Amino acid sequence: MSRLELRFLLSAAAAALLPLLLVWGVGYKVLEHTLYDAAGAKVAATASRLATVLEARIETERRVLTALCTVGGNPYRTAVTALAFLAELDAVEVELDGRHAADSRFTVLPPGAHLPRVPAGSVRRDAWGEPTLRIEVDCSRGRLRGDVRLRPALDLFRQVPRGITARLYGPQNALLASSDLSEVLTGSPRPIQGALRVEQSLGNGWRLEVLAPRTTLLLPLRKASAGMVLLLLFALAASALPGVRLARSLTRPLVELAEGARAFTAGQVPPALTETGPEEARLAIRAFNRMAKAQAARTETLAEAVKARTRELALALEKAEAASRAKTRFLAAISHELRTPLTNIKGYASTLLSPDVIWRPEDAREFLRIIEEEADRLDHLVNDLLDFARAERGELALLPIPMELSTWLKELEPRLRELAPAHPLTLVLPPEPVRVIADPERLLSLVFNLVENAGRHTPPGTPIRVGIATNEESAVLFVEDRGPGIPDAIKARVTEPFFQGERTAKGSGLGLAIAKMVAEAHGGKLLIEDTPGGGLRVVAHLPREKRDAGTDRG
Amino acid sequence: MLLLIGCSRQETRVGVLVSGPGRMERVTGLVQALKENYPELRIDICNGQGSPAHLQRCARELESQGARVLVTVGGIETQSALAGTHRVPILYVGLAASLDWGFVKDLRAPGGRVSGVDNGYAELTGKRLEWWVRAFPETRRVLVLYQPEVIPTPRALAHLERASETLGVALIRFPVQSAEDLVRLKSALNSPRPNAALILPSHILENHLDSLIARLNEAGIPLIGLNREQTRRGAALAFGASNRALGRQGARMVAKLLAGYPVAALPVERPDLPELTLNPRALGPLGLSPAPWVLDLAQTP
Repeated sequence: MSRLELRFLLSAAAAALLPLLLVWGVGYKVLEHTLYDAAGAKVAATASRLATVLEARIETERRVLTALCTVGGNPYRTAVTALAFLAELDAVEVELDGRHAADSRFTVLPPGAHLPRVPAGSVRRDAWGEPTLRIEVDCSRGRLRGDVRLRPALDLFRQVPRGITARLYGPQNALLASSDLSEVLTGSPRPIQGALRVEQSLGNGWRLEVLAPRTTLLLPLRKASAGMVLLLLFALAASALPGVRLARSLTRPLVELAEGARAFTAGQVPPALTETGPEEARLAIRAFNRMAKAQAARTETLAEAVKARTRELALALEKAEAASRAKTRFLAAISHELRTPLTNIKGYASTLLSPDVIWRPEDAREFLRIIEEEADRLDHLVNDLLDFARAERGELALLPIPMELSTWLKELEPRLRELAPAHPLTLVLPPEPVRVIADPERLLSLVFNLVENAGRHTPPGTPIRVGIATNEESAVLFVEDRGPGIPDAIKARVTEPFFQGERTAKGSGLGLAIAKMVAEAHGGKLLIEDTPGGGLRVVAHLPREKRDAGTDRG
Repeated sequence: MLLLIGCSRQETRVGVLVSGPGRMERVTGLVQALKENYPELRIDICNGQGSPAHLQRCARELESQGARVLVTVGGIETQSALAGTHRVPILYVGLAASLDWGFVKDLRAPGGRVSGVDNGYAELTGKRLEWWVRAFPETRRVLVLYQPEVIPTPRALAHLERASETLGVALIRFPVQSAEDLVRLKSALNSPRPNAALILPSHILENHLDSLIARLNEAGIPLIGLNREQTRRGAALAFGASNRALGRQGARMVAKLLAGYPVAALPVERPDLPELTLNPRALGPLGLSPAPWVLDLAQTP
C-alpha cells in the first residue's frame, strides 16, 4: 500500500470514526458521573449499615456487662452468666464488692486467675488469629472486663457488596477487619487508587472505612467501552477493503501519470497509459495520452528536420572546407603562376638593362619577345581571374550574336594547334552549318580553355579532337583527348573553381570552371564524360538559334 | 453483521465426604447453609460407609468431576480426601485437635490445601468437666471413656487433667479400643463408683453411644457428652458446638474458598458458639438435680 493510499484510508477512517469517538467520549463522561453518584450513595449506605450493626453489637455487649455489674452478687456466677448471655464474649473478669472472679469460654481458669492487663478498647489476636476486643464497664459496685471475639461480628464484612472494600480500624489504626480477607491476614490494607471513600468513626478510636475502587465502579462502562472499541475495529476492518479499493482507483491513475511524466522527463515518449479509475481520472489519462502522441509526432518531425539540416550543414561544411582548401591551393598556384612570368620579365629586363653588357640586336629581340610572351601569359591569367570573379558575382557580361559554329571553329584551328603544339589536333565538323546565338569572345575563351586543358593533362603525341555535333535542341561543342581521363571520384568536382586534380598540375584551376560558367551563361551546360577506348570528352551544350522556316530557307 | 459471542456458565460443584450416618448432622447444617447462599451450587455427597478406601475413591471421582472444594466431616474423611486427590482444596468441618492430625501447620495459616472448622472438642473437654462440677458441685470422681489410638485423645486428656486438678475431681480412665471393650464397662463402674462418665472424641464411642448410655443408665451413672445431639440421645450434659452449627460455620468457609480465597491462607476456625445443654429427662431418673443457676444458663436438647 502506498503512502498516499494509507493517508487516504486513515483520513477516511478518521472522518468516519472521530464523530463516533466524540459522541462516545461525551457519553462516557456523563455515564461516569452517573455511576460515581450511584456508587457514592451505595458506599455511604454500606458504611452506614456496617457502622450501625457493629456499634449495635458492641453496645449490646457493653450494656449487658453494665447491667450485670449493676446487679452485682456473686462475681463468679456473674462471670459465668456473662459468658452464657454474650455469645461473642470469650473471657470475662469481674470485680464486685471487692471480690474477684474470672472465666473463659474455652479454658478452665484456676481460682484467682486474671485476664491479661491491656487497655480498654484494644484488640488482640489469639493463637487462632481471631481478634478480640477488650471492653470495660464500671459501675458503682465494681468493674467488668471482657474480651469480645470480633470474628462472628466481622463476618458482616463478607456481606459487603461485590466491588466495595470495607475496613474496620481499631485504636492505633490497627486493621481489625476487611471485606478483603487478605488484608485481615496481613494486617495491612492494600493501596486502592482513585476510589470513592467514606469514613465513619465508631468511637473509642474505632474507625470504619468503605471504599469503592474506580476500576470496579467503572467496570460496566469499561465493558461497554471494550464493546465499542471492538465495534469500531470491526467497522474499520469492514470499511478497509472498499476503502483500499477506492483509494487505489484514485492513486493508480496518478501513479500511471507520474510514470508517464517521468518518462517525459527522461526524454522518452511513454507508451499509452491504461485508462483506469473514475471518469475524471480516465479523462486525465486520455488527455495525457493525446499530449504524448502529439509530442511524439512533433519530436519525430523535429528529428527529421534536424537530421536533414545536419546533413545540409555537413555538406556545406564539407564544401566550404573543400573550397577553402582549393583557394589555398589556388593561392599557392596562382602565386607561382604570377611569380614565374614576373620573374622572367624582371630577369630579361634586368639583363637587357645591364650597363656592362652590350647585347646583339637579335638577342635583345629574343629577350623582348620572351618578355612580351610572359606579359601575355600574365594578361591571360589576370583575365581568367577577372572573368571568374565576374561570373561569381553574376556580372559575366555576354554580347551574343548569331554565329555559325563550324565556320568559326575552322577559322580558329591554327590558334587551337598553338595551344596544344605537342598533340595532333583534328577538327570534326558537321556538313551542315550549326547556328547559335553566342558571345564569340566568351565562346573563344571556352574552347581555348578546353583545348589548353586537354593539352596540359595528356601525354605529348596523343591526339586531341575538337568538334561540333548537333541534336534537336542544342549544338554540342566537344573536345576529346586520349589521356588517362579523370577518376570517377573527382569527376564531379573538376569544374569547381580552383580545383586541381594533381598538385603538380600547372594552371590556375579556373579553366573548366570558366568553361562551365560560359556554357551555363549561354543557357547550356558542360558535361565531362569518358570516351570509349580511354580518354576524356568535355562537352558544352549550347542552345541552337531559333529561326523560323522562311528565314532558314531564304 | 452480528457478532456472536458465546459464553457458557460452568456449574460450581462442591463434594462432601462423610464416613457414616453418625456425622450426617454436620452435613445437614452445611448443605442447608450453602443452599441458602448458593441456590445454584451443586453438592455431591459421598457416604463412605465407614470404609477409607471407598472414601478415597469418592474423593478422586469428585475431583475429576470438577469439584471446587471437598468438604470432610471428620479426620478419617480428611485423610482419605488427601490421599485420593492432588489439587482440590479440602475443608473439614468438625475435626478435633487440628494441629495433631498434621493437616495444618499453623492454625492462622494452614499452609497446605487443608483448612476447616475445628470443633474444639479436645480443648473443651476440661470445660465440660467444669460445667458438670458447677451443676453438681458434690462430684468427686469421673469415669473417662476414651479411645487411645484416636489422634485428639492426648490433647483432650491433657486438658481434662488440668481441669480435674483445678476442680479437685479424680479421673478414672477407661480406654476403649473396640466396641467389645464396652462389655467390661460394668466392672469399671463399681470400684470406686464414679459420679459421672465423660467421653472424649472417638468414632467407636460415638457410633456406639446408645449402647454406652444404656449401660451407664443401668448403672445409674450420668454421661457428660460432647454436644447437643448427644444429650438428645441420652447424655445428661454436653458442652460444645452442635453439629448443625459446625456445618453452618463450615459453609461460610466454603463460601470464602469459592470466592477464590487461597486455602493455604485461610485460618482454621474455632466453633462460634459452644453451647451448654442439660437433659432433664436423663437426670430425672437418676435422681440428679443440677444447681438452679446452671440450669438457668443451660439449654435443653
